[in-house]
Amino acid sequence: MILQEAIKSIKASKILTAVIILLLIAASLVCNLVLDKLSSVRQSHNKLDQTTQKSYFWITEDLHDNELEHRFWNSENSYDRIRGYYQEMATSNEYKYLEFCKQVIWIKDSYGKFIEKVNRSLNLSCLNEFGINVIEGRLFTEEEMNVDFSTQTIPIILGYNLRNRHQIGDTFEGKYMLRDFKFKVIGVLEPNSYIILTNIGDDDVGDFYHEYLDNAYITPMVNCIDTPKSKDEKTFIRVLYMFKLNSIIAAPADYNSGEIRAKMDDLANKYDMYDFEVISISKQELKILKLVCKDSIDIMTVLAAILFVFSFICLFAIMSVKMNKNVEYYAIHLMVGASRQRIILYILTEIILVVSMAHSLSYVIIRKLIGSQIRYTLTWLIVSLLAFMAAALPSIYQMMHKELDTLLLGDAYE
Amino acid sequence: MSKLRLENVNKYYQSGSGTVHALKNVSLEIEQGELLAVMGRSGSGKSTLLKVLGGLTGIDTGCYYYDNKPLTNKERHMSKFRNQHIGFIVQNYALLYDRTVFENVELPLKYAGVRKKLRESRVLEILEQVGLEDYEQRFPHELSGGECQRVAIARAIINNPEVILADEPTGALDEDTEGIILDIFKELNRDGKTIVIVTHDPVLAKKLHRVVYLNRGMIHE
Repeated sequence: MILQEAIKSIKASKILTAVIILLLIAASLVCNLVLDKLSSVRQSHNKLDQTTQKSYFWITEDLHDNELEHRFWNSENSYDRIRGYYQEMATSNEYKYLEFCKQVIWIKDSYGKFIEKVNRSLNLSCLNEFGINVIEGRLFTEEEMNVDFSTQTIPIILGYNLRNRHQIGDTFEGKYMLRDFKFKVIGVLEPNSYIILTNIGDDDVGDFYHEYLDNAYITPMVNCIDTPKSKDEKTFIRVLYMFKLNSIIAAPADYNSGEIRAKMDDLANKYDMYDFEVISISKQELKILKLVCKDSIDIMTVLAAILFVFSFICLFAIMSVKMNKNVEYYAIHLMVGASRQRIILYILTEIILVVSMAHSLSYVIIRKLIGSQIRYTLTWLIVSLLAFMAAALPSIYQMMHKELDTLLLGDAYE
Repeated sequence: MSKLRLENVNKYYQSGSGTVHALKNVSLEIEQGELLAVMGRSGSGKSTLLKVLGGLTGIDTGCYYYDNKPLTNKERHMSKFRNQHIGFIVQNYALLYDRTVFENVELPLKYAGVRKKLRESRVLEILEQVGLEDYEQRFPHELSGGECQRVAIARAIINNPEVILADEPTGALDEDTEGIILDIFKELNRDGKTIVIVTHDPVLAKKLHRVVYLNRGMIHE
């Protein structure tokens, strides 16, 4: 009977209920959008904050001397030597070795034709350093980072904008590092996922830039310990380790390039390697970006607060009108035998129903209008519920404390 | 034996201009089966007296006895009392305008916990008694004033209360309709109901068993 009465009360003021729902949908859209953007900017700020507290060094092969590299690959045991060099460079307690590869992969379409797609290959340290995560499925496992020449399938994660192209579990044929593989989709990245990469600025100093992953296929930057025999296998290893040795080192702030240079020289002697350069990456741009982020956070926080207060007042006001209209209505129930506790239950049930209806509708509409790019935040749910509850408090107070004859006068009393 | 008994009852109201002493040391005994008229000027305390008798409002001092048992101001006690013993008819009918005649009349039975089938037959029976058969699916806004008043009466008597309290039940009705309403009250009274009617109309009052007058919150018989 409580639910029935609450529904009847909603039906009795259809127009007001519709206005409340419309208002809540509009407020939900705006408030969630601002909150979502605020949360994204905060995440960026935190990432930048972490990044500016570290020293970054870009390791890149010396492009001025191709002859050395050519001689290296033609020398004895070059494949074992390069893997040994890599293994010791990548393993350190002092720094993180971030491997990334900007390349394309070829995916076979339904006509059997290979189509070029944007691919970014990352190692686990890279995923971890930049807080990359999935909204569906999973990230790569430690085991999936190792392949041998019998491996036929490697996992792939879809950038957020590619989430409708394939399903998790789908497999498709393609080429990775010029070698044929099957790709198995294991997850979808969160929207706006990015890594921070480097390039060389005009002053020969490395600069940071953001590399968004929404439109990329993400593959693991694998290791391969098999000894290559065929020409294809040798090419695969050469391409793979060429990319793996061009990396970024993330180290504590007091770490300097001399320490890395010394380690690289030692290893180069040990494995008779060709030359690599160490480029210190300037954090100046990151610091400017961080300041811009901080300003954006301040402005958006003020904007969000204003929006929330405004939405709260609007929802409170209109719900108060509805609740006041109900006082006389519920007084009649009291007159014919309902208890005050029961009437309060009617009011609370009605609010819960209106809130649920309004939020469900606004959730569906926001998803239809904008897709899942903005999150429906808990903060907004709580604020709107508080507004409704606050609007109901005067009615609940009246129902608990006013005499029935006063309540029966309804609007005239007010 | 007195059905309702007030002893030195005082009732105060807060209004914009201060405290209003609505009932001053009111003592009144109403017998079982009595048909009583309460008269007085506007603001004399008639409606307040009726609301006190119906448990719609509590008293500030004095005692109120129903069947010689004291009635407290506790809400749970009052709501049970209203539901079991009192049928109340207010000036503006106090109907739920989004509900049908049937639903309006059925409401007290729902709060009394009566089963649906029994409720249906009881509502139809009462509507026939007040001459509103075939009106059960209509809404109050489709009815005349007299018909609305009969719906209010039907709702007041649906629980078979021993006491019926009516505040100006014929105030807004024409003479013919007033006659119909009065006949309903007389018939209910013949069935043993105790009825108290607040009215301005001396002609109506004369047709009842007894008249009490209120003047500035004090009673004169």
